Amino acid sequence: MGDASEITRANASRIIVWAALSALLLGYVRWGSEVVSITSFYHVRRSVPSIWRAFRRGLPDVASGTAMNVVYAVSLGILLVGVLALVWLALDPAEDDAVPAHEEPR
Amino acid sequence: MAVFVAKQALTVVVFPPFSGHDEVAHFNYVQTVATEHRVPTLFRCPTDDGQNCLDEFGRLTNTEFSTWQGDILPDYFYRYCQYILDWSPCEPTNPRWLNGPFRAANWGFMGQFPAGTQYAANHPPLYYLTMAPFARAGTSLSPESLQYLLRALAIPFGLAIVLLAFFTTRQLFPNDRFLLMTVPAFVAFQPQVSYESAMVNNDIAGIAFVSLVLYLLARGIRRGFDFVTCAWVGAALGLAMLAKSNSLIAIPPIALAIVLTCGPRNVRAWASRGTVTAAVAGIMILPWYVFFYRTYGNFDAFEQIRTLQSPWNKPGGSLLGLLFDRGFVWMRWKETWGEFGWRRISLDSSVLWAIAIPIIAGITGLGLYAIIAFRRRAKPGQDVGPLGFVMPDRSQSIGLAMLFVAVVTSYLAVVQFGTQFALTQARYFFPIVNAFAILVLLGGRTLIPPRLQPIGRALIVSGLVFMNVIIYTRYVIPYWHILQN
Repeated sequence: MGDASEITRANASRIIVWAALSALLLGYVRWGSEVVSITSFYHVRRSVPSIWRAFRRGLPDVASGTAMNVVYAVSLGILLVGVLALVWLALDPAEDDAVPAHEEPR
Repeated sequence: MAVFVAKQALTVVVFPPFSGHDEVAHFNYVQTVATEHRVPTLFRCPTDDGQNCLDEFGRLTNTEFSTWQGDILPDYFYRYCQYILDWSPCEPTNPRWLNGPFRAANWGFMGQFPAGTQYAANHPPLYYLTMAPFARAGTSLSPESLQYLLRALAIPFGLAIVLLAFFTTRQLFPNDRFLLMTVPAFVAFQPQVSYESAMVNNDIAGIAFVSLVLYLLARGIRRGFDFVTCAWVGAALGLAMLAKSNSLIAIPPIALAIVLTCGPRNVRAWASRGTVTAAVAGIMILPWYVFFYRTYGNFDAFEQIRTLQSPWNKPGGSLLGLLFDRGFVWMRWKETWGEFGWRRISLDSSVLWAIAIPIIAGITGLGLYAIIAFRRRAKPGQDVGPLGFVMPDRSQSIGLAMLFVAVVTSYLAVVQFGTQFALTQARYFFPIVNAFAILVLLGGRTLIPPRLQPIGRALIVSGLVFMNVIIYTRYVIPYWHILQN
Protein backbone atom coordinates (compact mmCIF):
# COMPACT_ATOMS: atom_id res chain seq x y z
CA MET A 1 0.00 0.00 0.00
CA GLY A 2 3.03 2.27 -0.10
CA ASP A 3 2.66 3.21 -3.75
CA ALA A 4 0.73 6.46 -4.47
CA SER A 5 -1.25 5.01 -7.37
CA GLU A 6 -2.34 2.09 -5.21
CA ILE A 7 -3.55 4.49 -2.52
CA THR A 8 -5.51 6.45 -5.13
CA ARG A 9 -7.04 3.23 -6.46
CA ALA A 10 -7.98 2.10 -2.95
CA ASN A 11 -9.59 5.45 -2.21
CA ALA A 12 -11.44 5.39 -5.51
CA SER A 13 -12.88 1.94 -4.82
CA ARG A 14 -13.76 3.08 -1.30
CA ILE A 15 -15.79 5.98 -2.73
CA ILE A 16 -17.46 3.80 -5.37
CA VAL A 17 -18.48 1.04 -2.94
CA TRP A 18 -19.65 3.56 -0.33
CA ALA A 19 -21.69 5.47 -2.91
CA ALA A 20 -23.27 2.25 -4.18
CA LEU A 21 -24.22 0.99 -0.70
CA SER A 22 -25.49 4.44 0.34
CA ALA A 23 -27.56 4.74 -2.83
CA LEU A 24 -29.03 1.32 -2.20
CA LEU A 25 -30.02 2.21 1.35
CA LEU A 26 -31.32 5.69 0.56
CA GLY A 27 -33.08 4.44 -2.56
CA TYR A 28 -34.90 1.77 -0.53
CA VAL A 29 -35.86 4.27 2.16
CA ARG A 30 -37.12 6.84 -0.39
CA TRP A 31 -38.60 4.72 -3.19
CA GLY A 32 -38.85 1.20 -1.79
CA SER A 33 -42.08 -0.60 -0.99
CA GLU A 34 -43.14 -3.60 1.07
CA VAL A 35 -46.09 -5.97 1.01
CA VAL A 36 -48.07 -5.65 4.23
CA SER A 37 -50.26 -8.62 5.14
CA ILE A 38 -53.63 -7.35 6.36
CA THR A 39 -54.89 -10.95 6.69
CA SER A 40 -53.43 -14.22 5.44
CA PHE A 41 -55.31 -13.64 2.14
CA TYR A 42 -55.24 -9.88 1.87
CA HIS A 43 -51.91 -8.20 1.15
CA VAL A 44 -51.30 -4.55 0.33
CA ARG A 45 -48.16 -2.99 -1.12
CA ARG A 46 -47.17 0.14 0.78
CA SER A 47 -44.29 2.51 0.15
CA VAL A 48 -41.50 2.58 2.73
CA PRO A 49 -42.05 6.30 3.53
CA SER A 50 -45.77 5.67 4.14
CA ILE A 51 -44.94 2.81 6.54
CA TRP A 52 -42.61 5.07 8.52
CA ARG A 53 -45.20 7.86 8.48
CA ALA A 54 -47.65 5.42 10.06
CA PHE A 55 -45.05 4.86 12.79
CA ARG A 56 -44.77 8.61 13.38
CA ARG A 57 -48.55 8.97 13.58
CA GLY A 58 -48.61 6.12 16.12
CA LEU A 59 -46.00 7.59 18.44
CA PRO A 60 -47.05 7.08 22.08
CA ASP A 61 -49.16 9.72 23.72
CA VAL A 62 -46.65 10.53 26.47
CA ALA A 63 -44.91 13.82 27.16
CA SER A 64 -45.87 16.40 24.53
CA GLY A 65 -46.57 15.43 20.95
CA THR A 66 -43.96 17.92 19.75
CA ALA A 67 -41.29 16.38 21.98
CA MET A 68 -42.03 12.90 20.63
CA ASN A 69 -41.87 14.17 17.07
CA VAL A 70 -38.52 15.83 17.80
CA VAL A 71 -37.17 12.59 19.33
CA TYR A 72 -38.41 10.71 16.28
CA ALA A 73 -36.90 13.13 13.75
CA VAL A 74 -33.57 13.53 15.57
CA SER A 75 -33.18 9.76 16.08
CA LEU A 76 -33.95 9.07 12.45
CA GLY A 77 -31.51 11.78 11.32
CA ILE A 78 -28.71 10.46 13.54
CA LEU A 79 -29.40 6.93 12.33
CA LEU A 80 -29.21 7.81 8.65
CA VAL A 81 -26.10 9.97 8.89
CA GLY A 82 -24.46 7.62 11.39
CA VAL A 83 -25.04 4.53 9.29
CA LEU A 84 -23.55 6.16 6.21
CA ALA A 85 -20.54 7.23 8.31
CA LEU A 86 -20.20 3.70 9.70
CA VAL A 87 -20.05 2.19 6.22
CA TRP A 88 -17.49 4.82 5.21
CA LEU A 89 -15.32 3.95 8.21
CA ALA A 90 -15.68 0.24 7.52
CA LEU A 91 -14.27 0.80 4.04
CA ASP A 92 -11.10 2.42 5.38
CA PRO A 93 -8.36 0.76 3.32
CA ALA A 94 -5.59 1.50 5.87
CA GLU A 95 -3.75 -1.62 6.95
CA ASP A 96 -4.04 -2.99 10.47
CA ASP A 97 -1.94 -1.27 13.12
CA ALA A 98 1.57 -2.65 13.28
CA VAL A 99 0.98 -4.16 16.71
CA PRO A 100 1.90 -7.81 17.05
CA ALA A 101 -1.06 -10.01 18.03
CA HIS A 102 0.60 -11.00 21.28
CA GLU A 103 1.13 -7.42 22.43
CA GLU A 104 -1.14 -6.32 25.26
CA PRO A 105 -3.90 -3.90 24.41
CA ARG A 106 -4.09 -0.79 26.50
CA MET B 1 -22.70 4.75 20.08
CA ALA B 2 -24.84 7.63 18.81
CA VAL B 3 -26.29 5.36 16.14
CA PHE B 4 -27.09 2.70 18.75
CA VAL B 5 -28.79 5.17 21.10
CA ALA B 6 -30.81 6.68 18.23
CA LYS B 7 -31.88 3.21 17.08
CA GLN B 8 -32.85 2.25 20.61
CA ALA B 9 -34.84 5.45 21.13
CA LEU B 10 -36.99 4.46 18.15
CA THR B 11 -37.24 0.87 19.38
CA VAL B 12 -38.53 2.07 22.76
CA VAL B 13 -41.47 3.87 21.15
CA VAL B 14 -42.27 1.57 18.23
CA PHE B 15 -43.69 -1.13 20.53
CA PRO B 16 -46.97 -0.31 22.32
CA PRO B 17 -46.94 -0.02 26.11
CA PHE B 18 -46.45 -3.24 28.06
CA SER B 19 -46.20 -5.32 24.87
CA GLY B 20 -42.70 -6.53 25.78
CA HIS B 21 -42.30 -10.09 27.02
CA ASP B 22 -43.62 -10.27 30.59
CA GLU B 23 -43.24 -6.51 30.74
CA VAL B 24 -46.27 -6.06 33.01
CA ALA B 25 -44.83 -8.51 35.54
CA HIS B 26 -41.35 -6.90 35.43
CA PHE B 27 -42.87 -3.44 35.72
CA ASN B 28 -44.93 -4.52 38.71
CA TYR B 29 -41.79 -6.02 40.33
CA VAL B 30 -40.09 -2.61 40.02
CA GLN B 31 -43.15 -0.90 41.50
CA THR B 32 -43.24 -3.30 44.45
CA VAL B 33 -39.57 -2.63 45.19
CA ALA B 34 -40.05 1.13 44.78
CA THR B 35 -43.20 1.54 46.82
CA GLU B 36 -43.20 -1.32 49.33
CA HIS B 37 -39.41 -1.69 49.71
CA ARG B 38 -39.54 -5.46 49.31
CA VAL B 39 -39.29 -7.99 46.53
CA PRO B 40 -42.54 -9.65 45.44
CA THR B 41 -42.98 -13.41 45.77
CA LEU B 42 -44.61 -15.95 43.49
CA PHE B 43 -48.24 -16.74 44.19
CA ARG B 44 -47.97 -20.24 45.60
CA CYS B 45 -49.92 -22.92 47.37
CA PRO B 46 -49.11 -23.22 51.05
CA THR B 47 -48.18 -26.92 51.22
CA ASP B 48 -44.71 -28.43 51.70
CA ASP B 49 -42.59 -25.74 50.00
CA GLY B 50 -44.49 -26.12 46.75
CA GLN B 51 -44.56 -29.91 46.78
CA ASN B 52 -47.77 -31.91 46.37
CA CYS B 53 -49.75 -28.98 44.97
CA LEU B 54 -50.59 -30.97 41.83
CA ASP B 55 -52.23 -34.33 41.48
CA GLU B 56 -51.17 -36.99 38.96
CA PHE B 57 -53.09 -35.23 36.16
CA GLY B 58 -51.52 -31.85 36.88
CA ARG B 59 -54.63 -30.48 38.62
CA LEU B 60 -54.41 -28.37 41.77
CA THR B 61 -54.93 -30.18 45.05
CA ASN B 62 -55.81 -26.89 46.78
CA THR B 63 -58.05 -24.38 45.02
CA GLU B 64 -58.78 -22.31 48.13
CA PHE B 65 -56.76 -19.42 46.75
CA SER B 66 -57.39 -17.31 49.83
CA THR B 67 -55.01 -19.67 51.65
CA TRP B 68 -52.26 -19.14 49.06
CA GLN B 69 -49.32 -16.79 49.62
CA GLY B 70 -47.56 -14.32 47.34
CA ASP B 71 -48.28 -11.42 45.04
CA ILE B 72 -50.84 -10.75 42.37
CA LEU B 73 -50.81 -8.14 39.64
CA PRO B 74 -52.92 -5.00 40.24
CA ASP B 75 -56.38 -4.94 38.64
CA TYR B 76 -55.32 -2.07 36.38
CA PHE B 77 -53.15 -4.36 34.29
CA TYR B 78 -55.98 -6.61 33.17
CA ARG B 79 -56.30 -4.24 30.18
CA TYR B 80 -52.93 -5.67 29.06
CA CYS B 81 -54.00 -9.29 29.67
CA GLN B 82 -52.81 -10.31 26.20
CA TYR B 83 -49.26 -9.64 27.42
CA ILE B 84 -49.61 -11.54 30.69
CA LEU B 85 -49.07 -15.22 31.50
CA ASP B 86 -51.85 -16.18 31.89
CA TRP B 87 -54.87 -13.98 32.52
CA SER B 88 -57.38 -15.63 30.24
CA PRO B 89 -60.08 -15.47 29.03
CA CYS B 90 -58.59 -12.18 27.89
CA GLU B 91 -61.23 -9.55 27.10
CA PRO B 92 -59.42 -6.25 27.61
CA THR B 93 -62.38 -4.17 26.46
CA ASN B 94 -64.96 -5.90 28.63
CA PRO B 95 -65.92 -3.29 31.30
CA ARG B 96 -66.93 -6.04 33.71
CA TRP B 97 -63.40 -7.45 33.84
CA LEU B 98 -61.70 -4.07 33.57
CA ASN B 99 -63.34 -2.89 36.78
CA GLY B 100 -62.93 -6.10 38.73
CA PRO B 101 -60.92 -8.73 36.93
CA PHE B 102 -61.32 -12.38 37.88
CA ARG B 103 -58.57 -13.98 39.97
CA ALA B 104 -59.21 -17.63 39.11
CA ALA B 105 -59.91 -19.28 35.79
CA ASN B 106 -61.45 -22.63 34.96
CA TRP B 107 -59.35 -24.78 32.62
CA GLY B 108 -62.00 -27.46 32.13
CA PHE B 109 -60.68 -30.89 33.03
CA MET B 110 -57.60 -29.27 34.62
CA GLY B 111 -59.86 -27.38 37.01
CA GLN B 112 -59.39 -24.00 38.68
CA PHE B 113 -56.08 -22.12 38.51
CA PRO B 114 -55.16 -18.68 39.82
CA ALA B 115 -55.07 -15.84 37.25
CA GLY B 116 -53.32 -12.48 37.13
CA THR B 117 -50.52 -13.44 39.50
CA GLN B 118 -47.02 -11.96 39.79
CA TYR B 119 -45.12 -14.64 37.90
CA ALA B 120 -41.77 -12.83 37.48
CA ALA B 121 -41.07 -12.75 41.20
CA ASN B 122 -38.60 -15.63 41.00
CA HIS B 123 -36.07 -13.34 39.29
CA PRO B 124 -33.17 -11.97 41.35
CA PRO B 125 -33.52 -8.35 42.47
CA LEU B 126 -30.56 -6.41 41.04
CA TYR B 127 -32.21 -5.00 37.91
CA TYR B 128 -35.34 -4.02 39.83
CA LEU B 129 -33.31 -2.37 42.61
CA THR B 130 -31.48 -0.36 39.95
CA MET B 131 -34.75 0.80 38.40
CA ALA B 132 -36.58 1.45 41.69
CA PRO B 133 -35.22 4.99 42.33
CA PHE B 134 -36.40 6.06 38.88
CA ALA B 135 -39.78 4.46 39.45
CA ARG B 136 -40.04 6.29 42.79
CA ALA B 137 -39.13 9.57 41.10
CA GLY B 138 -41.77 8.91 38.44
CA THR B 139 -44.70 8.08 40.70
CA SER B 140 -46.64 11.07 39.34
CA LEU B 141 -46.48 9.61 35.83
CA SER B 142 -49.10 7.29 34.39
CA PRO B 143 -48.07 3.60 34.35
CA GLU B 144 -47.64 3.86 30.57
CA SER B 145 -45.38 6.94 30.74
CA LEU B 146 -43.33 5.42 33.56
CA GLN B 147 -43.01 2.26 31.54
CA TYR B 148 -41.53 4.21 28.60
CA LEU B 149 -39.08 5.85 31.00
CA LEU B 150 -38.00 2.44 32.34
CA ARG B 151 -37.70 1.13 28.80
CA ALA B 152 -35.35 3.99 27.97
CA LEU B 153 -33.27 3.11 31.03
CA ALA B 154 -32.54 -0.28 29.46
CA ILE B 155 -30.57 1.48 26.72
CA PRO B 156 -27.42 2.03 28.85
CA PHE B 157 -27.27 -1.72 29.47
CA GLY B 158 -27.37 -2.30 25.71
CA LEU B 159 -24.72 0.32 25.16
CA ALA B 160 -22.52 -1.37 27.77
CA ILE B 161 -22.90 -4.69 25.93
CA VAL B 162 -21.79 -3.13 22.64
CA LEU B 163 -18.80 -1.46 24.32
CA LEU B 164 -17.86 -4.71 26.05
CA ALA B 165 -18.04 -6.45 22.67
CA PHE B 166 -15.43 -3.99 21.42
CA PHE B 167 -13.21 -4.27 24.50
CA THR B 168 -13.40 -8.08 24.62
CA THR B 169 -12.41 -8.24 20.95
CA ARG B 170 -9.57 -5.80 21.61
CA GLN B 171 -8.23 -8.02 24.39
CA LEU B 172 -8.10 -11.03 22.10
CA PHE B 173 -7.37 -9.39 18.73
CA PRO B 174 -5.89 -5.97 19.54
CA ASN B 175 -4.84 -5.08 16.00
CA ASP B 176 -7.61 -6.66 13.99
CA ARG B 177 -9.64 -3.89 12.37
CA PHE B 178 -12.05 -6.37 10.82
CA LEU B 179 -13.15 -7.82 14.15
CA LEU B 180 -12.90 -4.54 16.06
CA MET B 181 -15.42 -3.03 13.67
CA THR B 182 -17.73 -5.91 12.81
CA VAL B 183 -18.15 -7.52 16.26
CA PRO B 184 -19.62 -4.42 17.99
CA ALA B 185 -21.70 -3.75 14.86
CA PHE B 186 -23.09 -7.29 14.95
CA VAL B 187 -24.06 -6.90 18.61
CA ALA B 188 -25.48 -3.40 18.16
CA PHE B 189 -27.64 -4.48 15.23
CA GLN B 190 -28.71 -7.88 16.60
CA PRO B 191 -32.46 -7.20 16.55
CA GLN B 192 -33.49 -9.23 19.57
CA VAL B 193 -30.69 -8.04 21.84
CA SER B 194 -31.71 -4.52 20.77
CA TYR B 195 -35.29 -5.40 21.63
CA GLU B 196 -34.23 -6.51 25.12
CA SER B 197 -32.38 -3.21 25.40
CA ALA B 198 -35.60 -1.28 24.88
CA MET B 199 -37.98 -3.14 27.20
CA VAL B 200 -38.61 -3.34 30.94
CA ASN B 201 -36.92 -6.64 31.76
CA ASN B 202 -34.02 -8.09 33.69
CA ASP B 203 -32.63 -10.05 30.71
CA ILE B 204 -30.72 -7.03 29.47
CA ALA B 205 -28.96 -6.61 32.85
CA GLY B 206 -28.05 -10.32 32.82
CA ILE B 207 -26.66 -10.03 29.28
CA ALA B 208 -24.62 -6.96 30.27
CA PHE B 209 -23.06 -8.58 33.34
CA VAL B 210 -22.26 -11.87 31.57
CA SER B 211 -20.65 -9.75 28.83
CA LEU B 212 -18.59 -8.13 31.59
CA VAL B 213 -17.53 -11.59 32.83
CA LEU B 214 -16.43 -12.56 29.32
CA TYR B 215 -14.46 -9.32 28.97
CA LEU B 216 -12.70 -9.86 32.30
CA LEU B 217 -11.89 -13.43 31.30
CA ALA B 218 -10.39 -12.26 27.99
CA ARG B 219 -8.34 -9.72 29.94
CA GLY B 220 -7.23 -12.37 32.44
CA ILE B 221 -6.27 -14.75 29.66
CA ARG B 222 -4.16 -12.02 28.06
CA ARG B 223 -2.52 -10.66 31.23
CA GLY B 224 -2.76 -13.59 33.63
CA PHE B 225 -5.21 -14.26 36.43
CA ASP B 226 -3.87 -12.59 39.56
CA PHE B 227 -6.08 -12.65 42.64
CA VAL B 228 -7.41 -9.15 41.99
CA THR B 229 -8.58 -10.11 38.50
CA CYS B 230 -10.19 -13.25 39.94
CA ALA B 231 -12.00 -11.13 42.53
CA TRP B 232 -13.30 -8.89 39.73
CA VAL B 233 -14.45 -11.93 37.76
CA GLY B 234 -16.20 -13.22 40.89
CA ALA B 235 -17.84 -9.83 41.46
CA ALA B 236 -19.04 -9.67 37.86
CA LEU B 237 -20.41 -13.21 38.14
CA GLY B 238 -22.15 -12.26 41.38
CA LEU B 239 -23.76 -9.23 39.73
CA ALA B 240 -24.78 -11.35 36.75
CA MET B 241 -26.44 -13.94 38.98
CA LEU B 242 -28.19 -11.21 40.94
CA ALA B 243 -29.54 -9.90 37.64
CA LYS B 244 -30.66 -13.17 36.04
CA SER B 245 -30.30 -16.73 37.31
CA ASN B 246 -29.32 -18.17 33.93
CA SER B 247 -25.98 -16.35 34.33
CA LEU B 248 -24.87 -19.66 35.84
CA ILE B 249 -23.81 -20.46 32.29
CA ALA B 250 -20.77 -18.22 32.87
CA ILE B 251 -19.25 -20.72 35.32
CA PRO B 252 -17.84 -23.28 32.81
CA PRO B 253 -16.03 -20.60 30.72
CA ILE B 254 -14.64 -19.06 33.92
CA ALA B 255 -13.30 -22.44 35.05
CA LEU B 256 -11.85 -23.20 31.63
CA ALA B 257 -10.17 -19.79 31.29
CA ILE B 258 -8.54 -19.94 34.72
CA VAL B 259 -7.40 -23.58 34.42
CA LEU B 260 -5.95 -23.20 30.91
CA THR B 261 -4.27 -19.87 31.65
CA CYS B 262 -2.65 -21.14 34.83
CA GLY B 263 -1.84 -24.50 33.22
CA PRO B 264 -3.91 -27.63 33.95
CA ARG B 265 -1.03 -29.21 35.86
CA ASN B 266 -0.56 -26.18 38.09
CA VAL B 267 -3.38 -27.31 40.35
CA ARG B 268 -2.48 -25.09 43.29
CA ALA B 269 -2.53 -21.95 41.13
CA TRP B 270 -5.89 -22.53 39.46
CA ALA B 271 -7.53 -23.99 42.55
CA SER B 272 -6.65 -20.94 44.66
CA ARG B 273 -7.75 -18.52 41.95
CA GLY B 274 -10.94 -20.46 41.38
CA THR B 275 -11.63 -20.36 45.10
CA VAL B 276 -11.23 -16.57 45.23
CA THR B 277 -13.56 -16.17 42.25
CA ALA B 278 -16.19 -18.50 43.69
CA ALA B 279 -15.91 -16.96 47.16
CA VAL B 280 -16.52 -13.40 45.94
CA ALA B 281 -19.47 -14.47 43.78
CA GLY B 282 -20.81 -16.71 46.55
CA ILE B 283 -20.70 -13.97 49.20
CA MET B 284 -22.52 -11.59 46.87
CA ILE B 285 -25.36 -13.95 46.02
CA LEU B 286 -25.68 -15.64 49.41
CA PRO B 287 -28.31 -13.29 50.95
CA TRP B 288 -30.56 -13.61 47.92
CA TYR B 289 -30.40 -17.39 47.80
CA VAL B 290 -30.92 -17.71 51.56
CA PHE B 291 -34.07 -15.59 51.16
CA PHE B 292 -35.05 -17.63 48.14
CA TYR B 293 -34.63 -20.98 49.87
CA ARG B 294 -36.53 -19.81 52.92
CA THR B 295 -39.37 -18.58 50.71
CA TYR B 296 -39.66 -21.44 48.23
CA GLY B 297 -37.75 -24.36 49.74
CA ASN B 298 -35.55 -24.67 46.66
CA PHE B 299 -33.14 -22.55 44.63
CA ASP B 300 -35.08 -22.13 41.38
CA ALA B 301 -38.81 -22.02 42.29
CA PHE B 302 -39.43 -24.30 39.32
CA GLU B 303 -41.84 -26.36 41.43
CA GLN B 304 -43.94 -23.27 42.13
CA ILE B 305 -43.83 -22.20 38.46
CA ARG B 306 -44.78 -25.71 37.38
CA THR B 307 -47.77 -25.48 39.70
CA LEU B 308 -48.93 -22.09 38.39
CA GLN B 309 -48.44 -23.01 34.74
CA SER B 310 -49.51 -26.65 34.91
CA PRO B 311 -52.38 -26.38 32.36
CA TRP B 312 -50.18 -25.22 29.50
CA ASN B 313 -46.43 -25.22 30.23
CA LYS B 314 -45.44 -28.89 30.08
CA PRO B 315 -41.99 -30.48 29.65
CA GLY B 316 -40.83 -30.12 26.04
CA GLY B 317 -39.07 -33.49 25.68
CA SER B 318 -35.77 -35.19 26.49
CA LEU B 319 -32.39 -33.45 26.26
CA LEU B 320 -31.23 -35.55 23.31
CA GLY B 321 -34.64 -35.35 21.69
CA LEU B 322 -34.67 -31.54 21.80
CA LEU B 323 -31.03 -31.30 20.70
CA PHE B 324 -31.87 -33.04 17.44
CA ASP B 325 -35.43 -31.76 17.05
CA ARG B 326 -35.50 -29.64 13.87
CA GLY B 327 -38.65 -27.85 14.98
CA PHE B 328 -37.04 -26.88 18.28
CA VAL B 329 -33.87 -25.62 16.60
CA TRP B 330 -35.82 -23.67 13.94
CA MET B 331 -38.01 -22.04 16.61
CA ARG B 332 -34.93 -20.91 18.53
CA TRP B 333 -33.51 -19.49 15.29
CA LYS B 334 -36.78 -17.64 14.61
CA GLU B 335 -36.71 -16.20 18.13
CA THR B 336 -33.08 -15.19 17.76
CA TRP B 337 -33.92 -12.78 14.93
CA GLY B 338 -37.66 -12.16 15.13
CA GLU B 339 -40.78 -12.99 17.12
CA PHE B 340 -40.19 -10.02 19.46
CA GLY B 341 -41.17 -11.47 22.79
CA TRP B 342 -44.72 -12.72 22.46
CA ARG B 343 -44.10 -14.53 19.16
CA ARG B 344 -46.47 -12.22 17.32
CA ILE B 345 -44.07 -11.06 14.61
CA SER B 346 -42.60 -13.96 12.66
CA LEU B 347 -40.01 -13.31 9.98
CA ASP B 348 -40.44 -15.13 6.65
CA SER B 349 -38.26 -18.18 6.18
CA SER B 350 -36.56 -16.44 3.22
CA VAL B 351 -35.35 -13.66 5.55
CA LEU B 352 -34.31 -16.19 8.19
CA TRP B 353 -32.32 -18.13 5.60
CA ALA B 354 -30.75 -14.92 4.28
CA ILE B 355 -29.46 -14.34 7.80
CA ALA B 356 -28.50 -17.98 8.30
CA ILE B 357 -26.34 -18.36 5.20
CA PRO B 358 -23.59 -15.85 6.12
CA ILE B 359 -23.63 -17.16 9.68
CA ILE B 360 -23.24 -20.74 8.48
CA ALA B 361 -20.34 -19.48 6.32
CA GLY B 362 -18.83 -17.85 9.42
CA ILE B 363 -19.15 -21.06 11.44
CA THR B 364 -17.56 -23.00 8.55
CA GLY B 365 -14.71 -20.49 8.48
CA LEU B 366 -14.29 -20.88 12.22
CA GLY B 367 -14.04 -24.64 11.84
CA LEU B 368 -11.43 -24.18 9.13
CA TYR B 369 -9.51 -21.75 11.30
CA ALA B 370 -9.57 -24.16 14.25
CA ILE B 371 -8.44 -27.15 12.15
CA ILE B 372 -5.57 -25.29 10.50
CA ALA B 373 -4.47 -23.69 13.77
CA PHE B 374 -4.53 -27.08 15.49
CA ARG B 375 -2.50 -28.76 12.75
CA ARG B 376 0.12 -26.00 12.68
CA ARG B 377 0.36 -25.48 16.43
CA ALA B 378 3.71 -27.26 16.72
CA LYS B 379 5.27 -25.76 13.60
CA PRO B 380 6.96 -22.43 14.34
CA GLY B 381 7.34 -20.04 11.43
CA GLN B 382 3.94 -20.85 9.91
CA ASP B 383 2.09 -17.87 11.32
CA VAL B 384 -0.02 -17.19 8.26
CA GLY B 385 -2.88 -19.39 7.09
CA PRO B 386 -3.90 -20.25 3.49
CA LEU B 387 -6.00 -17.10 2.89
CA GLY B 388 -3.54 -14.84 4.67
CA PHE B 389 -5.11 -14.98 8.14
CA VAL B 390 -2.84 -14.91 11.15
CA MET B 391 -2.62 -18.02 13.31
CA PRO B 392 -3.76 -17.59 16.91
CA ASP B 393 -1.22 -17.23 19.71
CA ARG B 394 -1.71 -19.10 23.00
CA SER B 395 -3.88 -16.39 24.59
CA GLN B 396 -6.09 -16.22 21.55
CA SER B 397 -6.46 -20.00 21.47
CA ILE B 398 -7.52 -20.11 25.13
CA GLY B 399 -9.79 -17.11 24.62
CA LEU B 400 -11.52 -18.70 21.66
CA ALA B 401 -11.93 -21.99 23.54
CA MET B 402 -13.45 -20.03 26.44
CA LEU B 403 -15.90 -18.24 24.14
CA PHE B 404 -16.80 -21.51 22.43
CA VAL B 405 -17.53 -23.18 25.78
CA ALA B 406 -19.68 -20.18 26.76
CA VAL B 407 -21.74 -20.51 23.57
CA VAL B 408 -22.18 -24.28 23.86
CA THR B 409 -23.04 -24.14 27.58
CA SER B 410 -25.57 -21.42 26.96
CA TYR B 411 -27.35 -23.32 24.22
CA LEU B 412 -27.37 -26.52 26.28
CA ALA B 413 -28.92 -24.56 29.15
CA VAL B 414 -31.75 -23.45 26.86
CA VAL B 415 -32.29 -27.06 25.77
CA GLN B 416 -32.15 -28.29 29.35
CA PHE B 417 -34.75 -25.70 30.39
CA GLY B 418 -36.90 -26.94 27.51
CA THR B 419 -36.90 -30.43 29.02
CA GLN B 420 -38.79 -28.98 31.98
CA PHE B 421 -40.84 -26.24 30.35
CA ALA B 422 -41.92 -26.17 26.70
CA LEU B 423 -41.85 -22.37 26.94
CA THR B 424 -38.06 -22.20 26.70
CA GLN B 425 -36.87 -19.27 24.60
CA ALA B 426 -33.87 -18.15 22.57
CA ARG B 427 -33.40 -15.06 24.74
CA TYR B 428 -31.99 -17.28 27.46
CA PHE B 429 -28.81 -17.67 25.37
CA PHE B 430 -28.46 -13.97 24.55
CA PRO B 431 -25.90 -13.45 27.37
CA ILE B 432 -23.31 -14.99 25.06
CA VAL B 433 -24.05 -12.66 22.15
CA ASN B 434 -20.55 -11.15 22.34
CA ALA B 435 -18.91 -14.58 22.35
CA PHE B 436 -21.03 -15.71 19.41
CA ALA B 437 -20.27 -12.53 17.46
CA ILE B 438 -16.51 -12.88 17.93
CA LEU B 439 -16.50 -16.55 16.91
CA VAL B 440 -18.72 -16.15 13.84
CA LEU B 441 -16.99 -13.03 12.58
CA LEU B 442 -13.57 -14.57 13.15
CA GLY B 443 -14.80 -17.40 10.94
CA GLY B 444 -15.98 -14.86 8.38
CA ARG B 445 -12.65 -13.06 8.48
CA THR B 446 -10.88 -16.35 7.91
CA LEU B 447 -12.65 -16.76 4.57
CA ILE B 448 -11.97 -13.20 3.35
CA PRO B 449 -8.49 -12.46 1.97
CA PRO B 450 -6.86 -9.46 3.73
CA ARG B 451 -6.97 -7.33 0.55
CA LEU B 452 -10.76 -7.63 0.41
CA GLN B 453 -11.41 -7.12 4.10
CA PRO B 454 -12.41 -3.43 3.90
CA ILE B 455 -15.14 -4.39 1.45
CA GLY B 456 -16.04 -7.39 3.61
CA ARG B 457 -16.36 -5.11 6.65
CA ALA B 458 -18.56 -2.67 4.75
CA LEU B 459 -20.77 -5.46 3.41
CA ILE B 460 -21.23 -6.92 6.89
CA VAL B 461 -22.03 -3.53 8.46
CA SER B 462 -24.42 -2.53 5.68
CA GLY B 463 -25.95 -6.02 5.69
CA LEU B 464 -26.71 -5.63 9.39
CA VAL B 465 -28.20 -2.18 8.79
CA PHE B 466 -30.36 -3.45 5.90
CA MET B 467 -31.53 -6.38 7.98
CA ASN B 468 -32.79 -4.01 10.69
CA VAL B 469 -34.39 -1.60 8.23
CA ILE B 470 -36.21 -4.45 6.51
CA ILE B 471 -37.31 -6.15 9.73
CA TYR B 472 -38.79 -2.91 11.06
CA THR B 473 -40.24 -1.72 7.74
CA ARG B 474 -41.69 -5.03 6.61
CA TYR B 475 -42.74 -6.56 9.92
CA VAL B 476 -42.61 -4.51 13.12
CA ILE B 477 -44.07 -1.14 12.05
CA PRO B 478 -46.84 -2.66 9.90
CA TYR B 479 -47.78 -5.07 12.69
CA TRP B 480 -48.13 -2.43 15.39
CA HIS B 481 -48.92 0.75 13.47
CA ILE B 482 -50.88 -0.35 10.41
CA LEU B 483 -52.61 -3.65 11.15
CA GLN B 484 -53.57 -2.80 14.74
CA ASN B 485 -55.14 0.55 13.76
